[in-house]
This record gives sequence, C-alpha cells and structure tokens, in this order.
Amino acid sequence: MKITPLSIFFTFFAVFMIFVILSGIKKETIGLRSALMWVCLMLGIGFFSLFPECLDGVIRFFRMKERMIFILLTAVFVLLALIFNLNAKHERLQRDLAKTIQELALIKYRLDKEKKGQEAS
Amino acid sequence: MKVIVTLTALNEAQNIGPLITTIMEKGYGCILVDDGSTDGTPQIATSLGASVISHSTNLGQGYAVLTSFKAALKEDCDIIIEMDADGQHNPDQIPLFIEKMRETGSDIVVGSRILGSNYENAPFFRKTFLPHFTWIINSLTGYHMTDSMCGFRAFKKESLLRVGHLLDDMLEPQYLAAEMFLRFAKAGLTITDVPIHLKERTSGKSYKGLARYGFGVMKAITRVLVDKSYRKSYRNLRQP
Repeated sequence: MKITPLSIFFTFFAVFMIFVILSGIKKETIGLRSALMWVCLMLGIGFFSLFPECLDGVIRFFRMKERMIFILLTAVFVLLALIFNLNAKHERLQRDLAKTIQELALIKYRLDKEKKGQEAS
Repeated sequence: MKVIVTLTALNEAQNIGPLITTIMEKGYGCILVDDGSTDGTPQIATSLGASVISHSTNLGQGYAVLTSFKAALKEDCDIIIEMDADGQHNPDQIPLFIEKMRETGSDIVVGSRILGSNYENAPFFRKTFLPHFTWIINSLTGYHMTDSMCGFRAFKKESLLRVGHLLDDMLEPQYLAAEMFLRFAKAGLTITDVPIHLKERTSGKSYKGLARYGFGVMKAITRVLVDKSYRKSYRNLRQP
C-alpha cells in the first residue's frame, strides 16, 4: 500500500459518491439495480487507488507496461457499455413517447368528434 | 366509393388552405395530422372543414402518417389517399389512383414522379438517388415500382385493415416508406404505380435533408431485415 495524493483523492471521491448513491436510494431517485452497479464501481475505484499493486497480476497477464493504461482502458470500456445501454434505453423511451403522443392525439380527436356529434343531435 | 384524403403537415399555413378547399370541393373526406405546427396550420384546416388531429410536439412525418392511417381506418371509407400538404401533389390526380386501383385490383397504388411528365426538371439529387433506393426496395420486395419514395399513395381500406397491426410494429417510423413496403410485401399486398405530375412548391420549405433521409432509409431497411418479427412469416394476419 502506497499512499499518494492521487490515491487519497480517488478514495475520498469514491466514498463521497457512495454516500450520494445511498442518499439517492433513500430519496428513490435511483433504482436499486443501477445503485448496486455504481456502488460496486466506486468500491473498485476506492480499493484499487489504495492497493494499486493488486492490479499487477492482471497487467502482467495483458502484457501492459503501465497500470494507468490498464485503468484508462477499463474506464473506456465501462463507459462504452454504459453509453450503449443508455442509447438503447433512450431510443426505446423515445419510441414509447411518440406512441403515447400519437394515442393522445387520436383520443382527443375521437372525443372532439363525439362531442360534435352530440351537439349536432 | 368513399375516399378519405389524409394530409400530414408541419407549418404549411400558406399552402394548406387551397389544397383542403380543392379536396373538399371534390367531395372527398379530409383528415389533417398536424405535427406540431406553430403557424396556425390546424386552425386554417379546421375552419375549412377538415378533421384535424394534432400531435402536441413534432414527431416527424412518418409518425404523422401512421397517426393519419390509424384515424382513417376508423372512418367510413373504401379508399385512403395519402398526400403531402405542401401543395406539390395535385388533388385533381386522385381519380387516376382510384381508376388504377379499380383496373388492377391492387391493394396500393403509388404515385410515380419518374413516370410523370415533368421529371426532367427534378432536382439533381432526386434524379440520382431515387432510382437506386427504388431498385433496392424492389429487389427486397419483388415489387416493380418506379418511385418508392413518393408520398402520394392510395390504399384500399380493407387491405390496410388486414395489416393494421403492423402499423404499431414499425421500427423506424421516421422513414416509413421503406419499412412499410418491406412489411406489406411480406404480408402479400400488391402494388402498382401511376404517373403523377409534381407541382412546384409555392411557399415554405421542405424539412427533409436528402443525405440524412437517404441514410435513414438505409438504416430502416437494415433494421427491418434483421428484425425477428419480419423474418418469421405473418401466419396470423388478421382477416379483413
């Protein structure tokens, strides 16, 4: 374990984020599944910033020279997965929203038509 | 034979009046789907006697066309005509579609700008890319259309009712034409085309960028081709 200013910063950041996530669960602004994923991610960040030597085995396995490259690549892959997931959800929500707007417009049209029919009769 | 004309519009206040007046004078029903206009288009259409359906926000032309189909399918009619509201499609040509449908018995009649008399004056990009898009769609569907992207079309209501549930399954409604033809071909609907003469737009502007539209069409085709519900045959099609 080698304490550097950067490792202290990352540890504090991870602890702070875990508190934010926990308060998010309390206020029901974040789902339990995604909260669990973010807490795991933050615990990982906190742990590996305090014990970076734990990564050495993995780095040797991938034949990388620097820990930093491994961390950056991992971050990039995690972010890509998150972006893909968000994109798919966004597209689905957009389609659902469009269908809802269509349905609302049609319901309003039918109600107006019925009202006009009643007025005429 | 009862005919309903469906129009989709976005900020077409300058063009919509004469178009709806002509349609109503000819004795056709008219449904206008307003796709979030801010220039008073729906008010003008209502004052002229058209039935107006308003999307509370802009969803794109494809969604507006789907809404118009859903509304028209509940109306008492035999033929549903889809037209652009920008005044480029001439309502005087509607009888050609009806006549062609009667002659051939086709489920859908598509207007063809390529067979029309003024295609020589068409913009360069349309002349270059339209035949290629049409060729791709024809190759995938087995149809023999000359213009697959024309928004002036006629549908037999009973045929559209038969595939009505497909209207909810569209994956890329923004680029409706391509997906619609692929799905309708699979469902066994028949298509013929009829030459149309396109009028010049008198005012306003088109919201379709050709490059973006072309990309969207290709995306729609790809998505439909890999879609599970498209690949399995429509065995349980609703009966008319």
